[in-house]
Amino acid sequence: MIRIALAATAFLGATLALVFLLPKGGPGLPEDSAVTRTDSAFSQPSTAPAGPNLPVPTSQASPLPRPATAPIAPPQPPVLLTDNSSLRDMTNGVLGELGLQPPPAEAPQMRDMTANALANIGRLRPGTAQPQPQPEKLQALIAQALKQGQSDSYIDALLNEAASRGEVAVPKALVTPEGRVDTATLLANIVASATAAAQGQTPVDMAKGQPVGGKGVEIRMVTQADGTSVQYQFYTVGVGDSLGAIAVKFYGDVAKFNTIFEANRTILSSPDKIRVGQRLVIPRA
Amino acid sequence: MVRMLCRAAVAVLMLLGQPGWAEDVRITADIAAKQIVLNGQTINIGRIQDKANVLTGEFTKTSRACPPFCIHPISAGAGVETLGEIEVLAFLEKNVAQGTGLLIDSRVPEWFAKGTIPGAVNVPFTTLEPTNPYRDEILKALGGVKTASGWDFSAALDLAMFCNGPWCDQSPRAIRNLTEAGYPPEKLRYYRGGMQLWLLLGLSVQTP
Repeated sequence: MIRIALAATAFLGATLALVFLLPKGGPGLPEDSAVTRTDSAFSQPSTAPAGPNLPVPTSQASPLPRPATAPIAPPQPPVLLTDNSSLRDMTNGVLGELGLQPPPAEAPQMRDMTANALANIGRLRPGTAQPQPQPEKLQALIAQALKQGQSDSYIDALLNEAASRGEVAVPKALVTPEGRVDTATLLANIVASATAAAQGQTPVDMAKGQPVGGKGVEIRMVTQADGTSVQYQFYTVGVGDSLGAIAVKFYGDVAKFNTIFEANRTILSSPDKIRVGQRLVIPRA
Repeated sequence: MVRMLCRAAVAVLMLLGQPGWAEDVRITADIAAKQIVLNGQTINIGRIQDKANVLTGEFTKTSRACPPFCIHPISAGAGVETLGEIEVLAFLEKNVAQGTGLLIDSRVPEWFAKGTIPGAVNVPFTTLEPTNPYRDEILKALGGVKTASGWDFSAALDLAMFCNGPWCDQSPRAIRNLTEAGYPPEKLRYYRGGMQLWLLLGLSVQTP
């Protein structure tokens, strides 16, 4: 019964969203002039200055044609509500709701308490602090769907629906170039943490080891000035990738997305602003 | 018999004739109740008019274990002014209504939810502990500006803090943590009576 009600709500929501968004031509993708596509075919890492922090190819102003994959991206991806919440906190929250883990440690509690305090201050002082969407909402949504035994694709649709309506905020690292929530990585992270919790361990790597090859992965040897060579890894963003998924691919840990983000700050304005065809440098773990 | 009737009639007339019969229990001789507009919301603070009313429950306890529920000195720190109820009302009317101050309930949310002083906002003392990794966000919201050399609180809000009463350590602790973070003591106030005295005086309580 609940399932039918949920499905009905989701359908109604989708219909309303279409009705409201279509006449306006759909929500535009917030363009960020600082973000430029890099063209993997025309940038050689060996031309990049040798040094631990500078392996990012700088062919941003390339007049050459775009890679063939670029125009495939949907023209008007929905705008998702994102926030800076940590995926680990969110995962622990979901596990807590499912009764798989003791209530999360102090930090997540403090985050929620702080968020509430800020909202309280903001209520009397408009403009100082706006009430943020509560991260518990996302947790509750996922936990409920998991309890109901919903399929991954159902949860995927549910989350995208809710995030595009601004009802829940998703971690920035889990936004794909198409502007969708990377539900697969999110769920995999929850499963990995639940398994670890059940075995009484700290969360383990979801996918141990580094990919030797695989689509989009490049490994280059760069000879430094002193004659030694350093290995750099690059990854070209594909359809459906999120920074979190890439972090899992290379480090086996979704939380490492920040390592990748920091190393690619010159081409990424925000973790949720990755584009298909972007060539990201992947620092050695 | 006639005398009795007369006496009763006079008594009734006296009661009806008093302009503020409904506010027989006033805040002060001059002030029956206060109406304060805070950010577009009007709050009313008066007192319980039932003269037979007594407190029941939590706030009638005499002997809480000390520690932790020890009796606090009148001052919460050098330079921090201590307030009574009339000063709390004045603070609401002046500082809070004009947007230059906040009346802060330092207790944890569960206590806040049971009832607080009208116009107070809940900033639990735990969120002001240096161990809270997100404390900076609160200090910013209170008007602090992080500079290269530390915090600049010169434009920060005036804060009046309270908790459950003279036996409660939460607001003194929040005040200590704020001053240690560099918050100027002259921008801080301590309402020592807290909920204990507020309730004992039958003053209005707001349930958020």
